[in-house]
Amino acid sequence: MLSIKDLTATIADKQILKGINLEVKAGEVHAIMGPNGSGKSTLAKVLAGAPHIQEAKGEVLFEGKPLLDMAPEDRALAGVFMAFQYPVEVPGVNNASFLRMAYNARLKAAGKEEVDPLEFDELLIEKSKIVEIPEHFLDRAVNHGFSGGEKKRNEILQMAVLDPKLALLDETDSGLDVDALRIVAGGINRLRSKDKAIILVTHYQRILDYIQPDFVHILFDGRIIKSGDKSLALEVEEQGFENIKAG
Amino acid sequence: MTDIKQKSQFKECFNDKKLSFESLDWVKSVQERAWTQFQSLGFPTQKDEGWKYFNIESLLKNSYESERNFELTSEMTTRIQRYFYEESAASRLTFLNGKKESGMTSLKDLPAGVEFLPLSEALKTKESKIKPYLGLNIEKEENAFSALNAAQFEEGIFLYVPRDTVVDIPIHLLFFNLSSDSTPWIAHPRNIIVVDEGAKLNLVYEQVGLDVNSTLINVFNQIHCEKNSSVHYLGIQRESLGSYHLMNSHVYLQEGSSFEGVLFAQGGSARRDEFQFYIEGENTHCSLKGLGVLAGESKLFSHVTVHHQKPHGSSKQLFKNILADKAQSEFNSLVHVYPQAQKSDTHQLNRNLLVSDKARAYSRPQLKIEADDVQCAHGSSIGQMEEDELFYLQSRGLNKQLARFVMTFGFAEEVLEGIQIPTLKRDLECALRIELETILNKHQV
Repeated sequence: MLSIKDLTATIADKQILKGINLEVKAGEVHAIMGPNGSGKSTLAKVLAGAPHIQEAKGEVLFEGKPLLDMAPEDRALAGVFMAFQYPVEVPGVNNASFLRMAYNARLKAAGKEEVDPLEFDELLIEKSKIVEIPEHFLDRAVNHGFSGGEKKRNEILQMAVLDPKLALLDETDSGLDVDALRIVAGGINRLRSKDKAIILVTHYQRILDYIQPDFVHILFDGRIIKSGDKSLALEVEEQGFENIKAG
Repeated sequence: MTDIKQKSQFKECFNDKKLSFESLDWVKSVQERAWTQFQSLGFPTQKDEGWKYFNIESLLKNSYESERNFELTSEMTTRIQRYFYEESAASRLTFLNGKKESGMTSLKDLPAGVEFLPLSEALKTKESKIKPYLGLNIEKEENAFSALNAAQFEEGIFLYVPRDTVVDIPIHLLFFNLSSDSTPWIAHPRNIIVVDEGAKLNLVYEQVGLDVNSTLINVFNQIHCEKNSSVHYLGIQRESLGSYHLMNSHVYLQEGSSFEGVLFAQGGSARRDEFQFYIEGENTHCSLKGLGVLAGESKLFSHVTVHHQKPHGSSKQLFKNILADKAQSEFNSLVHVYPQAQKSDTHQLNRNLLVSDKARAYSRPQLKIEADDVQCAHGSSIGQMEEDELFYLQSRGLNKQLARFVMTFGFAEEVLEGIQIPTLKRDLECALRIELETILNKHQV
């Protein structure tokens, strides 16, 4: 589904990614771990098409299409979704109408007919149950005045509604207490399927207690220095990133 | 020799004493006091803090007539009727160029005891009711234009809601500024609104300019919220280019009362909107939200002062402006918490979204705190749309153009979302949508 070859990226004249190689197949969950500043969030942002990336080079193919050439919205319409580490507040636009706009943009791109608010409400209520989001979330302005935990849950609701092929979760676990983490992880697990892939960027092993990854990659100074199965995450927890690097 | 009568500049009125109600003795004596106050204040200059960015000189050197030729055509009637909305079909008072238009007025849905009539009539027939309010605190007035208004007003309204009376239908007060030719015109509307103990009022004050060039409208509003009363106020300004609009509103809040205001301004050349809140009783609440959508060379100057004179009062201000082309905005707000006003809770927030490089926003939220047990928050921001914010929306599949529209609309909608009158809310959102689409198309990124 996703094939990354020798990806480099520069932000503010500083090279952050120094040659990433990664293959992700449908149905897989990949965890990217690494210390602060290792480039793991940058990797997610480069894939989603974030601004302020000065230069991204290398070959990134998403279902055979070169991803780096596409505008952020086209990547989204093709099925890439990023859950933000710091979701943006959009005061004055309610969650339900925002999600309908996004959902309809996708339908339109696929040449399908757009849904009206009533039809969409049914879908939205069903999806919000999957990710255990209370209905009153839907009438509130997008992320406006939400707590950190509520924002993260809202990201997972968006993911449930937009039903992406590839989900990039950028430190979705950060700032969550144990209960919120369990709910968010539960939502993500319910969205796993054999034709979808997830890349989970995280600093801590703790979310991996809830979401079992198929692969774990350790990112250090812009490169993947070690890949393994879920036991690698436990190694990190015990030894720390530095020791793994010293290896 | 051509015989052209030289019109005098507006500033000459300072030397030319003229009172508008010489025939009513008690009104005349109020106007005498107002004139004295106007003389002692003099016209402001750009050296005065409150008029720093306002091009006062160009306003003063224009000349204006107080009469205007106007013929109501059927085409104009149709245009005017677009501003009527169903909720106020029988609670509407319409003025055309400062005069009540009976054919466009219907007040039959007003509850018994509610007085709602032109001020000139009220001065003659409701003297005892209006006397305590007319010219109140005129010796303390600091705004020369408001003192001038008190001396020279000709019309306006008197609205009185009796004790424990709930007016739940919105009352629509509509002032149209129309012209068949390009006669420069001046008016000093004066409005006195009294909401008695335990009463409730929902008022829409709308000022519309259609095809007018040079006008100066100098409004003074006095709103009295008596004990435990509640007022919802929606002020709408849709002005055509070439108009100066000055408005000063004094709001008096007695114990347990509340005032919630929303202001929407669009178009016009220069508009200065001043609010003075006098908190005179405990446990009051006032909130004022303002939205300016400014393009071309439109200017909006918002001045707010909240006098927290009693304990347990809360006040909240949220002013937002969207500025395109060479538009300008100013937010100059002072929250003054007096020594005895403990447990006051105040908020001031001003946000300005610049859509063009040439637009300017000036923001000055200020605090003067003389009590020690209070909560006062203030903030302001001036900036362009953030790429990061747009990216968030794009990453959900919205193209950049739509993302910009959604962000801008949402920015504005935060002010409009509190409007409780569905038809009018839809109408304003529609006007906003059209304006934003025009602005954003013009300023592509």
